[in-house]
Amino acid sequence: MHQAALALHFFTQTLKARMAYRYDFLMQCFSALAANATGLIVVSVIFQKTETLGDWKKAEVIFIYGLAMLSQALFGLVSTTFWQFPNRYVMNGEMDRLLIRPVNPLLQLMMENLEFEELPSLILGLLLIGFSASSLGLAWSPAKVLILSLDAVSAALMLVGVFLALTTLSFWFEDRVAITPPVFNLLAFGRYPLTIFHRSVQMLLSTVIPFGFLAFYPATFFLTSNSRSAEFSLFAWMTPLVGVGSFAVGCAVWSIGVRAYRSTGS
Amino acid sequence: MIKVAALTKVFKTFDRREGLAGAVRDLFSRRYREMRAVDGISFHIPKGEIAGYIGANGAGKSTTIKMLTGILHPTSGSIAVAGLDPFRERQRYLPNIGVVFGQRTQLWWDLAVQESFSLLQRIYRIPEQDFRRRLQRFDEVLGIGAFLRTPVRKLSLGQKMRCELTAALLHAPRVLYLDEPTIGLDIEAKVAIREFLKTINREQEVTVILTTHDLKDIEELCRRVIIIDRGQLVYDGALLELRRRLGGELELKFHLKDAPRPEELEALRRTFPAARFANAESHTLTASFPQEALAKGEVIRAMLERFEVRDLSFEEPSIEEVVRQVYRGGLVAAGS
Amino acid sequence: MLRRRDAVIAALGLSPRVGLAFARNSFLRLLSYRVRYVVGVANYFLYVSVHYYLMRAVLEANPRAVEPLLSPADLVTYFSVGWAARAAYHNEIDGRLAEQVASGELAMELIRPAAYPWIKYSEAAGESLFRVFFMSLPIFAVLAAVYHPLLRPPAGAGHLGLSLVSLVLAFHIYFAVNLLTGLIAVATLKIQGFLWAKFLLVQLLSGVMLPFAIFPAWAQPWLARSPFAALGHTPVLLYQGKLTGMAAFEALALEAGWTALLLALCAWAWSRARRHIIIQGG
Repeated sequence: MHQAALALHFFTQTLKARMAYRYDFLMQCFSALAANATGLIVVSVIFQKTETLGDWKKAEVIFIYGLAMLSQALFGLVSTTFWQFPNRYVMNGEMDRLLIRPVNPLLQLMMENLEFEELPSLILGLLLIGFSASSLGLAWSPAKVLILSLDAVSAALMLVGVFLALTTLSFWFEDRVAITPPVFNLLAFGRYPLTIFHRSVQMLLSTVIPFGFLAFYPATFFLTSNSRSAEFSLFAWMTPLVGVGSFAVGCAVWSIGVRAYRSTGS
Repeated sequence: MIKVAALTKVFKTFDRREGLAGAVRDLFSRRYREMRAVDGISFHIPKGEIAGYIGANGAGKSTTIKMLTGILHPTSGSIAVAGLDPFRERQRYLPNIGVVFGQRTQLWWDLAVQESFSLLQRIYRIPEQDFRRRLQRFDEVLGIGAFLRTPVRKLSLGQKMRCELTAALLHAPRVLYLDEPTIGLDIEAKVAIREFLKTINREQEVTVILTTHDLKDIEELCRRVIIIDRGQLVYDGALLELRRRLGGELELKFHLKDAPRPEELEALRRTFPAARFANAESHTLTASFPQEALAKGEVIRAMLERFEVRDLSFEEPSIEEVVRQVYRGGLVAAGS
Repeated sequence: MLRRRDAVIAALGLSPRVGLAFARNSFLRLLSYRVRYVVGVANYFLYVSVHYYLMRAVLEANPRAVEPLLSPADLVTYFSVGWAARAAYHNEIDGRLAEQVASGELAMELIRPAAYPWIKYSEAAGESLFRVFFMSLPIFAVLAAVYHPLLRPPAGAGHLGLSLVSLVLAFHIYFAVNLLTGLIAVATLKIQGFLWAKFLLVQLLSGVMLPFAIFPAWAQPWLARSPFAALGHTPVLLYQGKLTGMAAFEALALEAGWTALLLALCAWAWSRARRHIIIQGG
């Protein structure tokens, strides 16, 4: 409870500090939108030349893409943590500071690195979901809205788990940027219907790096218009489980990693 | 209060091979080397004591402090501070301690000092009344009131250190760890900080471990010193005892009205065979002798009887000299 | 009086010897990051796979969607060569420059007796040399092993030669673009997001994500004329023998023109940024 109250306090403090640099903040928002736009350009360009991608119609692909954007925008609140961590906290030894305060160091870390520039993408993601759902004639109900929110949060939690585990590796390897950025790029797989990829890729993205749960699997629950969706209903229901499980694994790796922290840089 | 037993920290580092061919080979196989930064150290510090923890660069001081503060996980050995294991019981342990690292700030860089403090108040759940009272007390001793509204990054080194100390003590910890708290400060700031530490130690019975390169800090603050060298403990005991055991020469300097005649010097040397007398300038006479060999008073009395002494000064062996001897292995010789 | 060449070298602080020393250092630095290296190779393989499967799904629905790429083999070859090339010329000068500005290190660079852009150029060259042998070739080998019959050799020795010329120019263009974006950091401190957006846009505009042929007809000539075409589209089509004769030479001439223009722009932007840094005092 105390930790939650502290988190809230950190949250508002950071928000205030960010808003103080309005120019930087707007530029960051614009950059985040531009980054998402490249992905949208890819999708719209592709559908100029074709009606379907694999077995999936344009609106269905856009639904998946929108959900991916939504989940990623939520993850974007804390994702800077994972870019900053190896360099700033491990190499420069700033981790020391987190370890001598009686607040969960992971919580402190994320609260210190909150970013809000992905939030406009959250709205864009919702718009894409809304448009594609209406063109598919998908009927919404409160239960469905709830499930969609739960899925997005679970997917974000899954990403936190994966990147936490990866970034924690920097406790052992003195790599400057480590391996986070390349894996971050693999999220591209998670924005499209998984069935267009080779079986081995589908396997990888359903297990070790569960980016299939970023959008595709949870989306199949809503995309009843497509006959293939039924194949994945089990996976769709597993999304919250994968989110929590992946987060738990990330935390476990983290707590082992803290033991290997060497506190260099002084 | 602080019990450390057989504490050891081993770091694994790999040696880079030289040159281009070496770099290519490093890609495939690496040569690892074990570095024992702290090697089987044990000590016990009772409540309310200020202990100086000294050693050369790379001797393992910071590594020890970092294990004591729960930042590093010991390879082996045990630590119990106020009955708690710093690493395993971190969340319960941390409210009991305060930490200052001279090289790196523990405050929030962009926040004003005041805001950093109120964040700490929330973190440590300090009751408003205590918080106000302590802040006021620290202002009296350290004069921090003048820059409470300044962002930390704009403070001078001395101001920052005053704030760091305040931040480390706001929650009234039972143990205070100071890793080079006076590094880079000017004399005035150093004196202020030493005075403050004395006060706080007296008023609140805080147990303090202090590492420093400025041996003046040690002389002013610590009765107890622990010296480590290459990860191993080489001395643990009173500062006075260390000085005595290592000996070192005491030097008495007399300014005389008239220059001493050679036969007078000769007579002195016969009376005190353990001492060396030098007459470098005509009106000064210095007597140097090991502390344990002669009593100061005896020599002074003899001098006053034989000469008209205008002025007298004496120098004890400096702590620098003592520590230098320890590093050179002097203690091993002296102890055996 | 100094000879003209010496005067230029002295003015710019260019010295081949100094440059070589920086290139060697950056080569050694990269070799020491072995985790990143292994993961990097694996990831390039995955990038090629994502884009290949995406395009193959398009091709299955519309066989003429990406003409002149008509078969899975064409697609695999296109993306493999494109990403292997990218692996060779890629560097992170923009990010490092931004870091140096943020930490105030950049001011220190100014007191070195060599021109900063020249140091960066040498570092990038060393990095790329490393990447050709330790990234591009292994990546290509992995891709060849996995997509064995589909990944085709170059259309001919001449085609390969032209493709390599195009790649050398691509290195210069990429270097210049990165240095220019990095210099934006002198004006604004938080540019991580901006760098990420630029990174993606450059990928999109160079054709390594989508072949130009899939874009709307009106956009294609503009894409082919942009400097980014040199970073994927041009060298790959040269390799595949799908860009030949006059068209090939025109594309190369255009690339050379862009290279000269962008490098000149770098020199100009640096001299401005330098003044800015000196005034700000770092």
